[in-house]
Amino acid sequence: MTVNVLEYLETSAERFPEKIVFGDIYESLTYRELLTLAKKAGTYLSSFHMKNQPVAVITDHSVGCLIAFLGVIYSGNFYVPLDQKQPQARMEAMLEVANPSVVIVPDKKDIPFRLESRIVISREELQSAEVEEEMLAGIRQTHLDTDPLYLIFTSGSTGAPKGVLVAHHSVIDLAEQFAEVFHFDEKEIFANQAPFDFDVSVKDIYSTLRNGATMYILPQSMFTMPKKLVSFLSEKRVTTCIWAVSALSILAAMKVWDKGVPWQLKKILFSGEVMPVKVLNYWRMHQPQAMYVNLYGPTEITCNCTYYILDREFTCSETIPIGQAFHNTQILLLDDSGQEVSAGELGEICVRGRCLALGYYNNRQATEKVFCQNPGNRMFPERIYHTGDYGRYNKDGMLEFAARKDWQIKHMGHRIELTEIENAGNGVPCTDICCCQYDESKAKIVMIYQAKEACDSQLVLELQKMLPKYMCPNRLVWLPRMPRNQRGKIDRVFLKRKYVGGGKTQEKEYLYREAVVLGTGSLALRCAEVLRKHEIACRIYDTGEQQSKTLERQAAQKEIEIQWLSREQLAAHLAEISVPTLVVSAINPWIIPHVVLENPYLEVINCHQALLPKHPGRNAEMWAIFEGDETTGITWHVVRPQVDGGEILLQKEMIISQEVTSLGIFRQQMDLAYQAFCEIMESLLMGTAEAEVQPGGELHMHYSWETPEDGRLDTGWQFQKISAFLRALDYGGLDVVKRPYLVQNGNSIFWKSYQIIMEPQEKEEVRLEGNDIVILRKEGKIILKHTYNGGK
Amino acid sequence: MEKLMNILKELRPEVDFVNEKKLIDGAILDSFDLVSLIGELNEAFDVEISFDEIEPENFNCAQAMWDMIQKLQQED
Repeated sequence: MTVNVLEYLETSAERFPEKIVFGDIYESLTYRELLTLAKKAGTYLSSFHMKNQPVAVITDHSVGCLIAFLGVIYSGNFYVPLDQKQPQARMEAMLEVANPSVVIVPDKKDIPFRLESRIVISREELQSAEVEEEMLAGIRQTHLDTDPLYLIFTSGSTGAPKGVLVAHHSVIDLAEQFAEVFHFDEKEIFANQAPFDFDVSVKDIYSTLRNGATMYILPQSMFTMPKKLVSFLSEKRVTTCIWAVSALSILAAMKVWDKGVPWQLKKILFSGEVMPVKVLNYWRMHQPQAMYVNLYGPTEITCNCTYYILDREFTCSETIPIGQAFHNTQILLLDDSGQEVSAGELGEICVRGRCLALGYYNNRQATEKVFCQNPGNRMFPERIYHTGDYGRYNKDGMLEFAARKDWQIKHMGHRIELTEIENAGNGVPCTDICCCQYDESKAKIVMIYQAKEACDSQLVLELQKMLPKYMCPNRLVWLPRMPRNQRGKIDRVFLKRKYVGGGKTQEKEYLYREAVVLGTGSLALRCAEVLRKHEIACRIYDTGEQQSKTLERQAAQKEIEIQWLSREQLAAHLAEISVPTLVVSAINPWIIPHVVLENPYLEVINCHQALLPKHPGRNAEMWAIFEGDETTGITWHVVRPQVDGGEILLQKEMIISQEVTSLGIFRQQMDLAYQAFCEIMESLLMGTAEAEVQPGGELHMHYSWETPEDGRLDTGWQFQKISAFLRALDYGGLDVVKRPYLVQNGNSIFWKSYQIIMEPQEKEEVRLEGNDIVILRKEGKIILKHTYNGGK
Repeated sequence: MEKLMNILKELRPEVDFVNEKKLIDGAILDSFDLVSLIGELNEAFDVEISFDEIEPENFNCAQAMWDMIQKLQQED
């Protein structure tokens, strides 16, 4: 009976002494060489006279690491792999939990973390001892298969990482089951993808040793240079890949097999997260000869407890089962009261067997929470492990994974507690508070943070010091104010719906069920009307300086609620809204203050009467005519503190004819704006509207008191300019801007109406005809009627 | 080019894409970054970056990516 994993190495070294066991891009070792090097390391380490103690091994992805692991085992202790590239804070947190007195480093020169009083040994030093067989045999004498083999860290919910301690018997159980079920033997050539601080690699290492097989280590960089990877697989004649789902996904996304398949793999086993059927089908299409196996299990039950050998085609709407338990392992599906659920029902996946880890090292509290007495057994002590995953059996009797119980997510094959990322984010000085969400459909961690101002770069840099790369958020959202529910807790449900989306089930369900329209005219009324048709609770706030009786009457006719508040009152009211509300600013002269824009429950949009980023500010149509633009239009955009600077939702363009006046454009724009609003309303209400950031650059902002040429007409201008000037200032009877005027003989002459007539004339002059001023030009004739004299 | 820079900035806000010349060789972008980047470039520029283009020299700096995109767009 095998009681120590070293027996695998020793037996295989006897069978195949000159065969390559491990290789990386720099070196490779035969079984005979590995045996000697491991024994030397073991002899060296035994001089510290420790038994069943943790020895930290700072890992890179090389053969040297594996020698260190085996050396630790020879010395009668267990190894703690710690990735050398992880952030210092995390490394130190792990060292604190494991508290090893000995640390093995690749090289003593460059150690970027504090080791305090620990003994530091380089890999080279491990080889400085001569093998003492008798002493090693003595250590072996006292060994039990219940002694720990390794301590591997996972993410912990409180921010402190949890170390899973695994005994020899669990790994032996695993290697035996894998060999039997997947027919592993000495012909196997493994391509190791997973880093050594990640327990996926345990399967590669011990399957290799048990079967007298060969394992090649793929450097991480090959996954950014896939051509090298493909040629490496074929050069090394790799047969078997036990990989993370994310690695297979990456290669599928890079379409590695599109240009032909230079090498045929025999066995492809994957785990870590739910395998997307699309990815699987890509692999099956190009590597149809291979056996595909879906593996499931957390680190706490030693890699995997169930497997499913793919025996049929899957369509994208199906889930690949996690299958059945390995021999000598049992799965229990338990409900909340600890009872086994009936067939087909959902229950928490609990595991029984030799595969169970010994527990969390140096953390009794966490251990007792999930490694518990089997609730169905009252007669003798029997531990089961609660995975926190939910599953059910399908009609074929195969187990299917359903969901996570808690805040834990699976991202890029890693188990991550979102709280741990939030804790890290909360520790960054530039943020007030953070909330993390996981966007499963895009496989992105979204961090929403509250801060005085956006600080994305700083936040990312700080997070990278605390978290490994795979835990760093993939998208950051800055909010000046975090939404909070009535109990004062972060409104996670709202944040999830707004920034992550509701998923398939909530299709057609509106995120915003209430709306507020701000405005002074007919566009506000029309928007309110169409919102009401969609059963959105909606009211208009008249944002004019004074209450408009006309607007009030029109709203009353349409039975739309309208209210006039002072601007201070309105700002206070909008700032306090705590249900998701769409705020539509439709020809609203009020500049919406920051306290309103900071309310996270509001989505504020505005209609601007130009094609932004052209003509931001007031009276945009007037400036478009005056500046001789050929076209203008309207822009619906998100409102940001910078006036008219928010992201663009939708634009509509119109032609500026040679006759049209500002009033004429304004009317056409209102129709366009209404049309556009109807087009984007659904997506706005659902919170899925897409908006494009405006191109940057300095633009001239127009203010309400500005008028082209300050309103003064110069008869010396070109006809085109006079025409444009007069049409631009023409708002019918409305006092929108200054009236145009002309200075004649020291008097300012204003007029109420004017006509522009195009008729060819020989002469050029300005003359008074009765009360009219007539400007005769080559290109046409301008008659300015109903003049009156008056000083300015 | 501005659109490309925006995509890069969003992908990894802390990286200096203007000056960095060893995004792949220096292992600044990892395989996850590269895959999401390829997806976003395909969509944003309406191109199809195939296996043949996934070489370090096409992704080591922003300018190289831009040249590759333009080459692909001309081929369409």
